[in-house]
Amino acid sequence: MVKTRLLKLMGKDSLEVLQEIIWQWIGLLAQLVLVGCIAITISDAFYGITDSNRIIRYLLIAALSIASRLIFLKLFYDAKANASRAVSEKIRREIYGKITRLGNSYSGIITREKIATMLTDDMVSVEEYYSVFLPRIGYAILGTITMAVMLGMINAKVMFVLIFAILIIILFFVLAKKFELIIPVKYIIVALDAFTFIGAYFGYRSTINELLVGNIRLEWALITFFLTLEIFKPLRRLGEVLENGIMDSKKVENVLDFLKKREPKEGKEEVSEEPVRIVMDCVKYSYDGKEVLKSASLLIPAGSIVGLTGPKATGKSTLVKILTKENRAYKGSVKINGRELSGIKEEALLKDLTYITDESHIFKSTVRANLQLGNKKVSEKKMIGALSVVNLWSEIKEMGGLDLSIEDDYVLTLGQKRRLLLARALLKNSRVYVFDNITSFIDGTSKEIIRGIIFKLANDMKRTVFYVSDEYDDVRGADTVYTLSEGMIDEYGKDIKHN
Amino acid sequence: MEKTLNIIDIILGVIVHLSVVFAAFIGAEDIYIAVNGVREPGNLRQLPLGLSLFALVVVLRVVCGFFQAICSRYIEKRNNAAICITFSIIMTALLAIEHPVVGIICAIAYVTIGGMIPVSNAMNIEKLKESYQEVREEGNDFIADVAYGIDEVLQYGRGQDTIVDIGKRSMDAADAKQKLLDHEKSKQQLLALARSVFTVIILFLLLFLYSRGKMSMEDLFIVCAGAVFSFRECNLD
Repeated sequence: MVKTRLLKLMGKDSLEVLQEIIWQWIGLLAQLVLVGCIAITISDAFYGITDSNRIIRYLLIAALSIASRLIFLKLFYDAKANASRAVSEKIRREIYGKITRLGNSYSGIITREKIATMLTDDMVSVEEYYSVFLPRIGYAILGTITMAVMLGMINAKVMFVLIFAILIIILFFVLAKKFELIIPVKYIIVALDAFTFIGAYFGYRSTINELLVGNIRLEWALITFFLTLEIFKPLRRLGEVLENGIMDSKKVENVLDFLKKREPKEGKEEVSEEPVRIVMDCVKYSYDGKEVLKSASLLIPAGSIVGLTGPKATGKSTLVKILTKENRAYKGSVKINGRELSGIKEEALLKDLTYITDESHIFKSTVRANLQLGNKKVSEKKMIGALSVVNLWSEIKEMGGLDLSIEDDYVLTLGQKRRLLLARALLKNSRVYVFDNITSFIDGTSKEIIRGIIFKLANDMKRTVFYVSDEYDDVRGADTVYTLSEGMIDEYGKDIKHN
Repeated sequence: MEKTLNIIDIILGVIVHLSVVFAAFIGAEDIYIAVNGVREPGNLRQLPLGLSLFALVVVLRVVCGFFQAICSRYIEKRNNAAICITFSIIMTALLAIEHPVVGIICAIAYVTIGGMIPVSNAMNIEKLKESYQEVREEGNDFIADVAYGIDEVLQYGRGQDTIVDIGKRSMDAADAKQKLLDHEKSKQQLLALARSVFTVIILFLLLFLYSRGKMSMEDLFIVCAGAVFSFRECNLD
């Protein structure tokens, strides 16, 4: 039930959880002091002790206990807020840091949807587990032990009776966790209340017996009676969150398991300064034992445009993902300017390589913010220039300019979105561009504009371009066109005969 | 059907709360009888009855609690307010029988603990809840958007910038949550203060009445225990 891995991960910040437990516990002690004062005052009245100094003394102690209870209640809530804040910030950082370290190969471990869920909805569970459930477990243990010890000091028999009931409750919690019994909280409360009152009944019986034989004084009998009704309260408070706690702990475990995933061994080499040339030789790749790429060899000379086409699901995107280091477990050889891809640092590779796929994302922000992703320090003039190159500026200008909000999905058409992606990529000004199905499902005008720019990148700007498309017509005119069929290069050439 | 279930829920809820107070009444009376056994040994004969009554109250509490849990599955909204009001009226009447001033003080306590504090809190908390939800949703939208665009963040080398942005959104949500918790904190502090202060007031009122011969020691025991536990049972949560 207690995820020590989470506590270790939180390091010093986990002290907040400890503080929550301690402040609650001191609050309980303050409450017990107040009960003691009341019991003694009643007892004094019963035995006819009328010492005004004694009354004032106990009144002052009672006032102090009330004041300290309020102070520790404040400290408890402050610690709770701090714990919640610390865990959400830290775990989000850890998750995001992990993804950054995994790099593009993250997709082999987790989907983008799961990342989004982990960083948002699951974070509520992590917060609740850490700032509510864990402290309640601690308080349930500490508070119950404290009251049991106090009871034991007054009346050992009552303590043993109640400890027996507590052990049954703990067994109930352990079994609930072990078999992942999701018991609705109201039934847990009913069960705990049953234990509370049955325990209180035995406690009450024993107290009366002890009083009758003169083993305890009145004030202790009153305190015992109060404690027998209160001893289960910390466990009851744990019971209130048990249902959610068990569910939350599973989500916490998922997050922790993700954070434990092995990170790929990162290469150390940079891409050399000369124009980029890519050579793929007998590249093979398998997904879950199924060989998708059987043997693909192709050459992308520096400053040229190479097209790759073929039917759907023949391994074209797999090849692109190998090139972008998303699929790292390839066999064969992929060399960039003579250096094996696996030995090149991902960060260095991505500095020189920009890729756009049909799944590339436009952020729910403004046009400006999306363009700035391509180049943080880019001037407004250059942004407008890039938009003009993709023939989008006049349309954007009409709709509101660079600060046009594109938070809603329908503001731009698919063709406009792809052109915006292209403008963003142009602003990065990298040496290699990879396009994967960027012209699929878009209108003819956008398609022509995009094709024109892709070819211009290689022909005029001397960038190395790898253009992948399901449709042969898209890549027609490239310096070399390869066709891929069933995981193998079928044919290649400047003007291949296409069926 | 819904109406009948609501009425059953209220009745069961009131019994559940009252059973705690009755257990306190019985326990306090029996403790008094036991401790007073030397002075009035005749009363000791009542003890077995007290034990049986206590056991009966325990059974009643457990059974009613169970049926209330079942009943709550079929009703849309819990009747906490109705239960609290009915419970307070019954308790005020019961305690006023012992002494009218005790009844009045307890009535004030119930209005404060079960009414004024939670109601005034609920009025403000809705706004805070809304604002927290808003900030949280806004932050989550941003974070989810970043997650869906993770490939772009990685290829454009914006990992560090994004971590900072995510941290900022997390802090914004944490600030809004802090306001909510501060509000909850004030409520719990006020409730704890009110319960403690009214307990002390009742105790001294009873001692005063006892010293003036307007209340027996036995009644002092019973009323004190009943009042203290009723303050704890009177809540809207």
